[in-house]
Amino acid sequence: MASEKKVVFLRSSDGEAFEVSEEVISAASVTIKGMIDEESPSRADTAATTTLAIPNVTAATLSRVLHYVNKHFDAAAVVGRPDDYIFCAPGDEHPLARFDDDFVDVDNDTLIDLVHAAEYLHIKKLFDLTCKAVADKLKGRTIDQIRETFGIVNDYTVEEEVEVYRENSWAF
Amino acid sequence: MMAEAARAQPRQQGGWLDLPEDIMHDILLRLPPKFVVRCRAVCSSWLRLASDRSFLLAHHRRQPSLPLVYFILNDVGDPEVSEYRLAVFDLRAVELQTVVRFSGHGNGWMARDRERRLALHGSCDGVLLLSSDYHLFLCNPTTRHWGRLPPLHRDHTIAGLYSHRISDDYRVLYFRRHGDGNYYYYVMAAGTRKQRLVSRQVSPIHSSWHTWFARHTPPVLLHGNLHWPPVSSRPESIAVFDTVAEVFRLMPSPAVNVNNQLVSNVKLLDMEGALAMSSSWSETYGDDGPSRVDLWFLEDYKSNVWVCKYRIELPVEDISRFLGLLDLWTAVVVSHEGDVLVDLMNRLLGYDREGNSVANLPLLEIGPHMLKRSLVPHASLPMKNHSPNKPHFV
Repeated sequence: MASEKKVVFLRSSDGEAFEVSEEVISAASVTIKGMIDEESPSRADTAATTTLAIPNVTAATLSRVLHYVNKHFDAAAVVGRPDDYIFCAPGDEHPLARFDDDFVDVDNDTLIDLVHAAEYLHIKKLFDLTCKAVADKLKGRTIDQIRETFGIVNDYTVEEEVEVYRENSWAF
Repeated sequence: MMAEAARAQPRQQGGWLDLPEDIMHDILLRLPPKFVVRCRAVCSSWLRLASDRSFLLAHHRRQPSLPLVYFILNDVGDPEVSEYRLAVFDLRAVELQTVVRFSGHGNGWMARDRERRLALHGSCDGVLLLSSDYHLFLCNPTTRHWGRLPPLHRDHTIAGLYSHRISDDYRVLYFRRHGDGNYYYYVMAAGTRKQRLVSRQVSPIHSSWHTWFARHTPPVLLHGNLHWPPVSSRPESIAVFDTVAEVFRLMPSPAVNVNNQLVSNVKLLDMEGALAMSSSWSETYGDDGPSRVDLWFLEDYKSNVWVCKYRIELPVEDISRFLGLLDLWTAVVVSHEGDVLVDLMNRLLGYDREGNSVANLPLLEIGPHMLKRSLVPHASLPMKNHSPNKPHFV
């Protein structure tokens, strides 16, 4: 099979189509691999390229996700074994560590969209990365700041809140 | 070509409100213990998530197993007072997190005085077994939950702390030399506080004869078995206590020299669910310390296949720069990646497996135990940090 040149198109929720290597996206996304596998019997003998609808992800987010996917899962672009930190020289950072840091250095809404997209598309590494980035954002904040920044309503009664603080006082 | 489509999408809502619980669960899992507990105060749904038992168990499994170190602070404002601390040392983050502290008069107390006031006997699932004036306590230093155990007789020596798989209870294994010259091993369950004789041996099976030595070579709990490092009189085997059948047996150890005259050169470790052994090696007898340390993995637990994963040459010259007259050093691998801690008695040096220095901390002493933090509550630790009559170290 001449699979190395095969591409698929992904159509975002707002109607924009993105081209991506079938091999790369299949390695990255369990969800899209499943879609492609379902499609494949019907397209095996046609030259037509497939367009897959990704109804839960906007063009802005999908473009970011594909940027990540091409960086992390395109075997031609990745040197060495990206998943195996042990193969890096000691003292060195993971070769994509800088890229990852920059990738999640975005505003809260963009980051949350990426978490949702990674979960929906089932891209484990991206899900790990974005969840960790959200966790890091929570870490530096007080309770009030967390509620304010992320629009969470405090649904405790005064008594309940006192009790929660008392039970967990050592962490504050 | 991939279309460049970075045009801004208008949003109706702050996305955080619609984060489903399973995603929130995954985010909270990645927070350090203290921040997980803080997040309980945000709203009731976060409280529910961050208190759920299966969440807390999953969170515990993700925590690194870090070496416990001891140090004394002489400069705490009052020249008469010094503070004793037990901390976990994260070599990668070069961070010390205090887990237990207490202060007392006099600086640089004798180890004997210090150990009477507070001694660490075991560490299991984030819970420490501590004694103070012969009173025994279980304490989770992360949640500050604690519980008392019946006091231990002076003649008894603790061999290990473990959690019993079937009863989900903490148990203490200890031994005593009786008048007939034999060594009697007992088990005490924290839940029932009952003590039982489980084994009689002609010599301490898990350690050399020395009680001090027994205290400083704690076992590793894996697959429901306690494992002790080999001793010089029996270098070819690892003593194992099956915590379910409550019997001792021996299993083969990797072929290494064992020397435990002062401090053992071998140490067993639980490395992400596999039994591992750190063994240091000296060029010639009488050196100031080892020049090499090996990390062995038990690749197949059932068929006893040991594999040497790293052979790490220590930067002896670099270490010697910090060595005082008459000082000695010991070395132990502390992580999966082959990070090594070198203990110079009054200074702790950290190296990666290529010998690059990653940490250099004065006045630290490495203890034999590791701590893997946990927020899981346990019935044997019913007391909290605001409970009355709490011990001085909580």
